[in-house]
Parts: sequence; C-alpha cells; structure tokens
Amino acid sequence: MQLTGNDNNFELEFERIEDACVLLNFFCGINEMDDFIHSKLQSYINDSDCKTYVVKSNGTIVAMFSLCPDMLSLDEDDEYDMKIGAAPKPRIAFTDKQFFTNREFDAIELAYLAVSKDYKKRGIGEFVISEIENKIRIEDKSCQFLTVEAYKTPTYSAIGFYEKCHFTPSELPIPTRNTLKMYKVLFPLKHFKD
Amino acid sequence: MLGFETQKVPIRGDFAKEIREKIFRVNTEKLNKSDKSEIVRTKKVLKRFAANWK
Repeated sequence: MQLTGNDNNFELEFERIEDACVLLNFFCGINEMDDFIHSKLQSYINDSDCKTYVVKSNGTIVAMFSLCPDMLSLDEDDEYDMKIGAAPKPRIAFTDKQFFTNREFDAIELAYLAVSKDYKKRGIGEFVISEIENKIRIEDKSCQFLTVEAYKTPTYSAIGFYEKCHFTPSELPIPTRNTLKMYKVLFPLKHFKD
Repeated sequence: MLGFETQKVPIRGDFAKEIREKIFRVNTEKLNKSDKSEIVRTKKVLKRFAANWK
C-alpha cells in the first residue's frame, strides 16, 4: 500500500456504480456510515436521483461518495431586514444590483463521502472533493455551489474536515440533529487553467 | 445524510449575507485574499494524484 499524497504517478479511478455489492468489503471505520453503506445504500441508489461513485487505486476501492441535485435558497426577507437594520449590513454597497438579484442557486450535494479506514490520512478525501468540483465546473456551468450535511455525533465530527476543504456552515448547529449544513462556492473554471 | 431527509429551509441572516457577498465577489471578479488562497490551495490539492473518471 504505497498510495501517498503529492505523487501524480498514482492514478485514482472514479467509477459510477449501480450495485452497492461492490462495497461489501469497504469499511470507513465510522459505524453508522458503514452500516448505511452495507444495509441501505442499494435502496438509496435505486430510489433517489443521486449518483454514487467509487474511487479506486489499482483496483482497490479507497473511497466512495454520492452526488445529488440540490438547490441553495436564500431567505427573501434578508434584503428588507438589512435595509431596516434588523440584520447585519453587507460590506458591499446596496447599490450593487447583483447583490440581491438571485435568491436561488443550483447546487450539487455531496451526500456521502467515505474514505476506506486503510487509506485515511493520505489526502484522498480532500483530493476527491477537489476533483468533484472540477467535474462540476466542466460539466455544469450553472452550478455555483457544492453542499454537504457534515456528520457530527458526540464521538465523531466531519465538520473540521469540511472546513479544511473550505466549506462554510450555512446554519447554526441544531443540538437534536446529527448533521450540519455546509456549502462551498465553486470558482469558475478560468481560475484553474494554467 | 445516511438516508435521512432534513428539511430544506432558506438560509438566513449572517449566513445568507456571507453567501451573497461571496457570489458577488466571484461574479464580479473582485476576489479577496481568502478567495485567492482557496483557489491556490485547490490547485495544489489537485496535483496530489492523477484522476480518471470512467
């Protein structure tokens, strides 16, 4: 097992799957996620609009994820609240019309991202997210956001990982829920051409 | 997440303001220092491995 970061000689293959059986021997080490992958993922693949992928290195599955169509909506009361001072004013001028033009944005939700417990701490998760961003930039230019509900329990939290990947919370933590909604703005492709 | 559908509600307050500001910066190409460092970091991460989408 030689897969390490910063080695462009290692190729990771991204392959869409329809059959969750290929993940029979895949374990990420987080019990709730492993239970989901092995007992419920197949019905999720069958019954949702999500596309599920595995990431392979030399034929071994090192990660898996699902992508779903999503929409990021901003509350329309905000404009009024900001103007009357009930909400914090933006740092840019109110006269910039684009600031309030759109309230709904196309997004792709990263529904699940799990890295094999044998391949953690090698930068694979962050690489997978960056590759997903790249794919969306090329194939869906109208999509401006990648969203995620970061998993958090008293014993495990993915929030720090997603923050490292430049995701930002879009809500305050809700004590009764084991996820936190986060988003990442997708910069246009032109910034990545060099 | 894990098959649970959480309610989709519009993003409000400071969270919405941050999103509007960032979208404005991206659309008008007025990126700030943090935006630029995010792009640099992503470029660096993309060089870790080669990727092949099948």
